[in-house]
This record gives sequence, structure tokens and C-alpha cells, in this order.
Amino acid sequence: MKRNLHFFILLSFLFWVGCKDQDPPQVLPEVAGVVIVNEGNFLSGDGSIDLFDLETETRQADVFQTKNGFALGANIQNALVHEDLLLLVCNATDKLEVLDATTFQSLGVVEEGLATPFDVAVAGKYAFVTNWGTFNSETFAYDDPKIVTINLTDYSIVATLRVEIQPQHILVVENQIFVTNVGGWSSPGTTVSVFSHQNGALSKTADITVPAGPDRLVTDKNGKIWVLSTRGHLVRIDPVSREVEFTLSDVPVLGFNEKMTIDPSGDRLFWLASHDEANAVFTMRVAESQVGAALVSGSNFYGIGVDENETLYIGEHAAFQGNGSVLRYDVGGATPQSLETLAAGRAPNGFLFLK
Amino acid sequence: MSCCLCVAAQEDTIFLDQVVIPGSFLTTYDAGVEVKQVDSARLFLAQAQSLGDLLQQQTGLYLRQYGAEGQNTSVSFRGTTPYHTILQWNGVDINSPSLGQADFSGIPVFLLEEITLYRGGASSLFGSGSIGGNIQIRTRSGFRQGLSLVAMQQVGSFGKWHSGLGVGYGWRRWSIAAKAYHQQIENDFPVRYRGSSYLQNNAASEQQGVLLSTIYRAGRQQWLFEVWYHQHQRALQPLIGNRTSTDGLRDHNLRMNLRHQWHLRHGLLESSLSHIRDQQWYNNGSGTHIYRTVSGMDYEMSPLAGWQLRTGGTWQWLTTEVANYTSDTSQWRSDQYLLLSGALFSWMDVAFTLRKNWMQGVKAPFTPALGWDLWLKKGQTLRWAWKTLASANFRAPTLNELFWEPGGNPLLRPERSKGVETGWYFTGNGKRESWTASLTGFRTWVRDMAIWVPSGQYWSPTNIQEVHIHGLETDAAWEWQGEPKLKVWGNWTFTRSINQTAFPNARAQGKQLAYVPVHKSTLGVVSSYRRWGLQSIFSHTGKRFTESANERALEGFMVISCTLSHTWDWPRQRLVGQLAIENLLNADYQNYELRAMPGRHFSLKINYQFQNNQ
Repeated sequence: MKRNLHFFILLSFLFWVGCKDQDPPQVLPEVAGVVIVNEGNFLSGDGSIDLFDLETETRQADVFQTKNGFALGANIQNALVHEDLLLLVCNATDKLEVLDATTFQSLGVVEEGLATPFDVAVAGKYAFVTNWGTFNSETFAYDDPKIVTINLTDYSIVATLRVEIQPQHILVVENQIFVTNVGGWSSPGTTVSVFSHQNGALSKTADITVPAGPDRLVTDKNGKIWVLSTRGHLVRIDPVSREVEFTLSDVPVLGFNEKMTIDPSGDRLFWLASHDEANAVFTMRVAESQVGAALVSGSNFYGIGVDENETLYIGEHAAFQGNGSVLRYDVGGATPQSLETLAAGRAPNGFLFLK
Repeated sequence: MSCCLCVAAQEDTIFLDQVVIPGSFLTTYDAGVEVKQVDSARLFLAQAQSLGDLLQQQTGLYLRQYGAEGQNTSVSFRGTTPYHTILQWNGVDINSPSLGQADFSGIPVFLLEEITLYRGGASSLFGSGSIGGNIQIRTRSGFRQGLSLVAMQQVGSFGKWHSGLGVGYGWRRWSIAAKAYHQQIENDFPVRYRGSSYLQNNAASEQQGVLLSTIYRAGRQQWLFEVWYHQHQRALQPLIGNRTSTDGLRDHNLRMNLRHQWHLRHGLLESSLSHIRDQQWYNNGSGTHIYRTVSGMDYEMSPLAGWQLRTGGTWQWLTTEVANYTSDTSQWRSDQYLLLSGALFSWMDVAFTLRKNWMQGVKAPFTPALGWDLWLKKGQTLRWAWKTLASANFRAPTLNELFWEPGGNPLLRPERSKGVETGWYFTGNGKRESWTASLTGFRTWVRDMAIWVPSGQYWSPTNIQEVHIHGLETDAAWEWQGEPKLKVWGNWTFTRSINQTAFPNARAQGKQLAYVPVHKSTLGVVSSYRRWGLQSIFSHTGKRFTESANERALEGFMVISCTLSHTWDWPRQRLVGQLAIENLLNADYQNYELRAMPGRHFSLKINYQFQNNQ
């Protein structure tokens, strides 16, 4: 009788647990809004993208997971919208995720051949991904940096170009590809490389010498390229002549993985900086030649974006203690006006504005 | 005198007639402190597991497992973090001083003869760190005469191969024992990913070690010397979907402990000297090396009939070779304590403890504790007690928090806590059955918790967080001594561990700490009939939030394991064969976010024991 009792208890638990049904992935309406790119905590794989609908002022958290039914499982370093594709450059796991920009459905993923990928730019059907290389735990540096070309129609790797120094951001301007060579912490790079490509194979056409630590690049309304460097310089390059036209020094910056953006009209630059033991946003119009006082100050600033209504978005990482927030300011007037703060995922580091 | 919450030891313990020197003086002083000892039968069945696996499977403690067997496993005790619990071997801390936590995957149950859990803020009894609790392990519980042998071999799914061998010999005044073990597993189990599956990569683990232990006793004195050398090489299991990682970790731990007990005319004098060397290498890095020497002295006597007084202290000197610390980082620590315990009335025991800790460069507080046991009914068939404990505790900053370059904060204050708990304990027995049950409620207030926040260009730990914890624990066991024998045991823990601080994350205020499950429960059913035995364990861990604003969570999970065993007995010898099924329902679960866990898997184990008493 006691033996039967044992089996009875065992069986009753089996019935009680049963099977859990998986909820079908939620289908999202196609909306115009802001994609908040959340980097995630280093090595925790909790990077995510949120969709904030500007009309209804509602946020859908982690649309990758809800739309595709599985976790992203990586940190997102940078993201790009190109035509109807949304590209996510991910670390740990190193991969490039390609999504449909309106439905966020996964179209393809490249999981091999990348080593700490950082940024991506697209020309035609080719995506060019800058890679820091493999982390070396003896030297605390990255070995074998490279730029990898991916064919976006079949997600195959078309070419791999080894470079000498750690590449950071990449931008396609007309038919040329510009890459900032930020280098390492103690030995920063001093060049912006220019490439042309033939069926995805890159060949270098020039190296433009710039102040140390060139990091972020944007293009302005005049077609010029602005480069922000980790050592505190803002430089304007003419992409046709490939020459530095203007250099501004003693610019407040973060010092590592710079965050800079330009408004959709291409007139006004905004970037994050370390300031007074915390952070601040600085701004400068492209016609100006001096940086004014800090526009907005605060702590834990990690991402920046500005939309066509001159609303400034600042990603705030809450010291990586859980999910962060997005601070918003109206910067169209003489002084910034604070708007409603949005909830975000873990360490929001960037924004993409969808039409 | 005070109620030790021991689940009744099984009759079939192989080692007979041992003269047991009390494992820890604390069974006398723990009025109010909740104590739980893992019984020897369960220890025997879990022999091939790690301490982490056993605690997660069978107790109300939540163990975070960063993947399958062999991966880092750390404990959350009463709603706190892994920094708030200390693991002690023979009374010596074996937490990593750099990280401030212990990795329970590297403690093989095969070596352990006693596992005792002290829940609650027992800092005053044990020193720094026990805000959540204290786990005591002993690899040698007593002197054994004659020759004894034990051999264990287990083979299982995913390349599991565990071996253990032990020999002991005791004669006249000497008892010497040695144990060696080797455990390896490939962990190439299927992982579900994006609609298909792949075999888990880079998660293999291998550990081996040896333990030598010698007891010498002469008249009123006893010497005990133990040396434990342990090595652990493992690949670090990557996130689900990462098939290219080749990261790995290597640990070498050497632990030596010498103890002397001297029964003097009016008291007991105990001295100890230990040396612990912990080394860890990540990939090809230069590694972290930490060396500690700890000496301790304790004197216990009885000032009045029915009362005990114990006083003593420990002194520790620590040196490091860690690339990221300012060079030649070393630290001394010391603490002194006083414990007074006795019967205030025939139905009431009290214990009062006072401890003061000194640490180089750190101001540590006094930690007093007061506890009492009231015996509301003391009889042959039913005993019923009410225990209460109030205590102040602290957790000293870790070496990483103080000395990491850049960002370490040498001015970091210790975390402090106050706690109260109260519980009712029942034990009863009939002609052929016995049972125990307990219900404990607790509240803990922790302040000055250290959080790493950006400070200029670097990150630095700062004392900013405050957490309020409250919860309930309940435990019960029922045993039937007829034929077949049957035992049912279970526990359920409810924990609310709430962050009080709005900085640095306003949305984390009022929320449950990450990786503290609100509910955890276990049910065990053990039956034996003649030579056969069947043990089933149902272990349920509730939903856990994976981040502090509680906006991401991992679902709760249930893991069921069943073990069928058969015993062959001869004079002085015993052979036990065991067949086990783990994760019977093939649950697809994650203990820690994005670390895959194996589905249903099997193992076969043979255990041989020989005991020749003179």
C-alpha cells in the first residue's frame, strides 16, 4: 500500500505539471515611430529593440522576441535601416541580424565569419561590417580586425578584408565607403580610410589623416562628412577631395564609443560628452565653428537621436541596473523643453526613426 | 538542548559506532538560529553531484546555475545575493575573497560528510558575510576504527564520467583517510534554437582532486589535519545561439586546515591554523592568485550550571597576485567574539552573541545577536518549540570592490543589515512513524548595499542600495518505518526581496531583486522495500525577474528526478547500484537567462563500501 502511495504521488505530479502551450507570437501592426535600440548588459544577451509609436504614444517592448518568437540573445552595438531592411550588428553572440523594417520579422542572420562586429553600412545588395577582431585575454586587446562584406540577398560572406587597426564606424557616401580607424585605447588611430568596392570586394583608395581616435561619422546637408574623435576633436571632411576642411579641438566628448547624430535636415549636430563627473549633450550647427555651452545635462547618457520635429532623444542606462529610459527634449526653441520620459530596455544606445 | 532541525538520520548509514567529536560548537549556541542538516541517506544518493546541484534540487535555497553541470553555481539565501552567504569548510571561509562569493559547482558531495545550513543572519556566530545565511561543510566528522573503503563510479548522458575512491584506516590513536575524485562531462546536449536544434558547444567540465585527513588523539587532546587539493577545468557555456565561443576557466584550490582540541579541566580550548590558496585563470590571462593564512583560537567553559560561555577570535592575513589590483595588495582581518548560551528556565534556552570584526582599511560594526527557544511542549511523542532570533550583521567589501584598477573604492563601507525571524518547530513520533514540521517568518533590512555606478571615466562601487526582505519558509518530513519504508519530505519558501532605492534606476524602486524567485518548493518521496529503493524529487523554482525593473522575467520551472537503487549486502561490505533519470519531463528551461539546460538524461552509478571495525 505504501509502495502504491509513492507511485500515486509521482503520477499525480506528472498530471499536474502537464504541458504548457506556447503563446503564438504577437503580430504587430505596421507603424511609424521610433525604434529604440537597447544594447543590453555586456555578455547577458539581453539586447533588444523597442518600437515607440509616435501617434499613439505607446511602446512595444522587445519587438524582436514578440515578432519572431525567440530571443535575440546578444548585445546590439549599432543598427541601421536601409530601404526596407533593418540591420542589427550584434556582439556576444557575434552576428548580423537582418529584419524586415516594417514587420520586424527575421529575414536572415549571418552568424559565422564575424569577430566582435561593430557597425554596418549598405551599398546596393552588399552590407559592409566593421569588426574589432578577436579579444585576447593576455593583452586585453583585439587581434585581427577586419571588414566583412555580406551579400544581403543570400546572406553569404562575399569578402573579408583584414585591416591593420581597429575600425569603428562605417558610412557610404555616394560611391565611396568611409571607415574611421579608432584604434586601441592606448594607441588610437589617426586615419579615416576610404574604400571603393567591386562586387563587394573592397579596395582602399585613400587614407585621410585626422586627429587621434576618429570614431563617429555623419553626413550633413552639404554632403560633407563630420567626424568626432575620442580625443576631443570635431573634423569636417570633403568626400570628393578627401581632405580635411575644418578642425575643431578641445571638444567635450565621452572618450570611448562616441555617440553623435545629426538632425534629419542635416543642419545641426548633437553628441554626448562626459561633463562635470556626469554627462551632457552638446550641439553645433554645421555653419558654426564653435561649441557652446551644454544643451542638456544629466547622468548615465548612452544614446542620442533627433527627429524631424526637433525632438531630442537621449538613452539613459541607469548604471546598467536593470532597464533604462529615454529622456526627451524639444530643442527647437531657445532653451530645451523637457518632454515625457519613455521606458526603454537595457542600456538604450541608439534610435532609428521610421517614416 | 536546542532543537537541531535534523531530518531523522536513516538507519542504513554504513559507518557504525563512530565516536563523533561534535562537528561544530554551534549546535550548543544556536538558540534561535534555524539549522538544517542534510541527512546522510540523501548525501549518499547525491554522492556524484556537486553541492550546488544538491542544494538547488532539494532545499529552499535558490542556486543560479550559469548552464549545465560544472558551470558556475552561486546561491541566493533568504532573498539575498551570492555575496551575502558564506561557505565554510571546517569553519574556514572558502568564498573567493576577490568576488566575495562561492562557486558551488566545485564542491563535490563525494567528499562531504556533513552539510549544515544556517539560515538567517548568523553573522555573529560565523563572521563577516552571513546576511543571508551560512553553509558549513565538513569533510571529516569523526574518528573511525579499522579499515574502510569506498569506491564510486557513475556514467551518464552527455559524456558524464564520475569516479571516486576513498580509503581509511584507524588504529589506536590514529585515523587516516584519503579520498580522490575525478568528474568529467562533455555537456553536448541538444539545444532548441530558432525552430531547430544544435548540440551545446563549449560547455565541457572536468574536475579532480584529493583529500587527505588525519586525526590523532591522545588523552584529552585531539589533532585533526586535512589537506584538500582541487582542480577544475571548464569551457564557459556561452549564450544560446553562440556557437563560436571558446572561452574557458581553470581553477586550482589548495585548502589546508590544522585543528587542535584540548579538553582542559574547566573548559575546552580549540586552536586552528589554515592556509588557503585560490588561483583562477580565464582563457590565457595571467590569472588571479589569492593566498590566505587564518589562525583561530576559541575557549569554551561553563560559568554556571546549564550555561556555556565561548570566546575567541580569528586572525587572517591575505596576499594577492592580481593584475588588476594595485600591486602588492594585501589585507589583514581579525575578529573577536563572545557567545553566552544557557537555560534561562527549564523550558527556555537563550543565546547571546557579540562579535567585532576588524579589517585593514574598513570600519566594520559590532554584530550582536539574541535568540531564544521556548519549549512549549516537550514530551516523548510530541515536541513543540518556538524560536526567535534578532541580529545585526554585515558584509565586508570584497577585494574587487576595494582594489580593482580602475574604479576600486578603498573607502567603500561594509553593507549592514538587521534581521528578525521567528518560527515554530514540531517533531513527533508514533510507534512506527515520525515527523517534523516547521514554519518560519523572517524580515531583513539591508542598507549600504554596494552597486557599481559610473563615476567620471570609470565605474566604481558605491554604498547606495537599500533592500527590505520578508518571507516565509516551511519544511516538513514524514517517515514510516514499516515495510516498505516510506519517507516524504518537502519545503516551500516564499521570499519578497524589495529594492528601496530610486537611484540609479527609478523604475527599480519597489521591485523584486533580480534572480530572487518569490516561490521555491521541493517534494521528495523516498521508499524502500527489501533491497530496492526509489527516490523521486520534484523541484519547482518560481518565476525570476532577470533585471531590476522587473520588466523581463524567466518562467518558473519544474525539474523531476527519479532514482532506482538496488543494494547487495554482505558482512562488512555493501554494493549499491543506482539508475537515475534527471529532468523526467524533458522540460526546456533556463535557470539563468539564455544558458541552456539539458533535457531528460540518465545515469548509472555503482557504489561499493567496505568497513572493517576492530
